[in-house]
Amino acid sequence: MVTPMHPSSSLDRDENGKSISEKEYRGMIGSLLYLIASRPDIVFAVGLCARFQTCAKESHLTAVKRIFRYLVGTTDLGLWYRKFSSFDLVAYCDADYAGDKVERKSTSGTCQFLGQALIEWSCRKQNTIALSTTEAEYVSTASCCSQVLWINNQMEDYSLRYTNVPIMCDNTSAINLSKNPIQHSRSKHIEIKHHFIRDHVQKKNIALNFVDTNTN
Amino acid sequence: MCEDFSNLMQSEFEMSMMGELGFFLGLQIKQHPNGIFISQEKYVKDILKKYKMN
Repeated sequence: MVTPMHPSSSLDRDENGKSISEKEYRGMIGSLLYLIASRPDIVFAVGLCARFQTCAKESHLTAVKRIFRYLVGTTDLGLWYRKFSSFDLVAYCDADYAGDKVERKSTSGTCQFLGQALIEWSCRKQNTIALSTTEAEYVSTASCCSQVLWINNQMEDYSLRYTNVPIMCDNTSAINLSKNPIQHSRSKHIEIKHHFIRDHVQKKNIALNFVDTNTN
Repeated sequence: MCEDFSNLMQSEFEMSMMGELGFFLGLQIKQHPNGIFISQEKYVKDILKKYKMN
């Protein structure tokens, strides 16, 4: 297996599917969740399977077993922290649009690098339902921003202070939305908490930059 | 420098030097001259065996 999950697979509740042992399913998810500590490559797949821990069906177990088969061929992967790597903080974020087939919520993915070292990553189903790809990306940028602010605080202990931390985003509309505080009909419903990113762009804590979708 | 630090810690606190760090909370840590590699190779093999997937 080259990937932890089939690219076109989309898990749903599968209410008509055959039920399986919930205890075993939960055990497998638990074991995989611990592995996430050094394996950002399986975070999304494990997170998705973990959503179906209650009423797990055969189709969900098949997806989990695929993750295990992927692990068989990639046991030696891990994180590499190079010596003499720089301390430039860069953040990347992305989002899918309505990837969750149950509630139609979008999923954010973010990661933060110090030089070449990956120091933090996350993959999370969004709390709000996005009405456009721009909104989904914007929400992921906002959660990325809060992580960056936290890292900023942590790094201050080591006398490292960052301003204009680049957050790389592959959606130009989301970037424009952060720069232009004008509300129009397509964005005025976005919750206030997600607009805090504008505030931090203006305070020069972060800077939203464009990155090509293939390199993001 | 490492030796000085180890001696200082041992004189100040009740602790002993156990050599180079290899395992920490189930994480394998390999120290190379040009960097540090963190993996869970052993853990992966253990869970594969546990769920009979190998």
